[in-house]
Amino acid sequence: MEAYKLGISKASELIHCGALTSSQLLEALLKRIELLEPHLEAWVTVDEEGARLQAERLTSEAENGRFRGALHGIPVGVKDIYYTSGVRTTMGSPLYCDFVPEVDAASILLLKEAGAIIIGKTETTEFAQADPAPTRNPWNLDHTPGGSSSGSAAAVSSGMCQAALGSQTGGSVIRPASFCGVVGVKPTYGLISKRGVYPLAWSLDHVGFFTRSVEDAALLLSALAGEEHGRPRELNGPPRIGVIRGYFHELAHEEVWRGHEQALEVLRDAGAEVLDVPLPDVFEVVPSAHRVIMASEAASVHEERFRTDPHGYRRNIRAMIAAGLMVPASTYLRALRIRGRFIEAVSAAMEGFDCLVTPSTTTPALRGLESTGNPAFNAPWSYGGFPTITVPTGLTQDGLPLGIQIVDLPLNESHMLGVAGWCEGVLNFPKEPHEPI
Amino acid sequence: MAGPVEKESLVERLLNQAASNWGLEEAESMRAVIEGIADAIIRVDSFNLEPRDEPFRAEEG
Repeated sequence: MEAYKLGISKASELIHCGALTSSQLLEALLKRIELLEPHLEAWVTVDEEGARLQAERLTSEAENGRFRGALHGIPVGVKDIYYTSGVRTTMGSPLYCDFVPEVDAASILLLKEAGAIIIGKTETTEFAQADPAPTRNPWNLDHTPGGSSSGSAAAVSSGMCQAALGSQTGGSVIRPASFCGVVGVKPTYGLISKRGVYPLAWSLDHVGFFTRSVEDAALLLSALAGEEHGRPRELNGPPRIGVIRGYFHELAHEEVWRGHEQALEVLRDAGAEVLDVPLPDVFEVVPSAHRVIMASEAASVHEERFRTDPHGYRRNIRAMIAAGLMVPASTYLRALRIRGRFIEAVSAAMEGFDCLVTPSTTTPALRGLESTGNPAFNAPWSYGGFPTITVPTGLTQDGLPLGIQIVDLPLNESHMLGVAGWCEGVLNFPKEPHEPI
Repeated sequence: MAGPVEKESLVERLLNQAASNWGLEEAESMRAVIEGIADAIIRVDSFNLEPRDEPFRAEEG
């Protein structure tokens, strides 16, 4: 098998037994990037020189029998809002086009400690909000890959790297992962440090990531949050799955909902108990509370610069900052106070279930690059801080990926990975990179 | 839940505020976002809370 097709787990096994070196793996991925980048535009910066130096060091360490961990020699892409020491970090904005941080974000340090190679910086929407990146969807170049972590999702999907960091404030990991047919993880709020990640909205921002399998996601989470969170818990049998309809059914595109029902049927046939769970009443106000917090906090992040240079920002984020500056403090506080109610209500609804599931997105990947899609199915869980994961389920008639979003209780990632692994095994979506051209 | 009149009046107020901050043309270009935030503000303000509902997540102490 060509090296770029390997998942983290297999590549790591080959590196450990000496059948593959970190440098060989990196060169395979750089070749893949050279081939695909003109079509996909997933990268802001490919740090060839820095990555080669890292790979040589890791190759030498491996030859001397020293392995840092399961990510030893694995190239990882990083969304361009993470501070990377000595590597330009643009936030997807012309305002930061020449910014070179002197330090690494906390999560970058953890990846490096685990032996990962930072191969480069991936495209993001401006400041991780809604103004699109130039990236295209590997499954159909005329469609958006989603956002805001657009480049990370496209890069992992197409085999330009085995994993990539993203971030989620509304739906910026789960949505692009689903649009691009890969696994996306948004852990519990605060589980992975956000230090060195440019904020969009402090109380909603999550570090998240993309891989092509649940097994690889577990390895990445182990490196970022510790094995107690990253090791998938074995299930005693097929899971008991709670299906939320209501809001999700109403907003879902017909083909998305049909695909969701088909996926649930497959899970049911494999032995899962699939039962409806009613939405708690508080859910009605949750999208509004999320919007109020996001606009208010983003406005606060950018207030100083915005007052003097509003046109330094593109249309969507400019309007959101302006709107956020006009939200009354009492409304912002109410939006924060509702969160506790939501967490309580969802936790109670989940009693007796292994997880809740929804479609990962309202639509398949939209045609055109003007919009990265709607985060409505993901934002509630970002608001509540619940851990979520998306697993690909199948394709639309036009060949675009669909996904199932699995929601678990806070800090229950180990269990969530166990459930997701079971679902992935049953749904059997290909884990090899998609060939975009 | 607030009615359409309340929303219309809030949208108008926010648009005026935006126009005074950033000019009329800019305010008009933000109309859709302002309508969205006005709707969100009204929904959040209409939700019944109790003093025990604190603004911080439990794990933040």
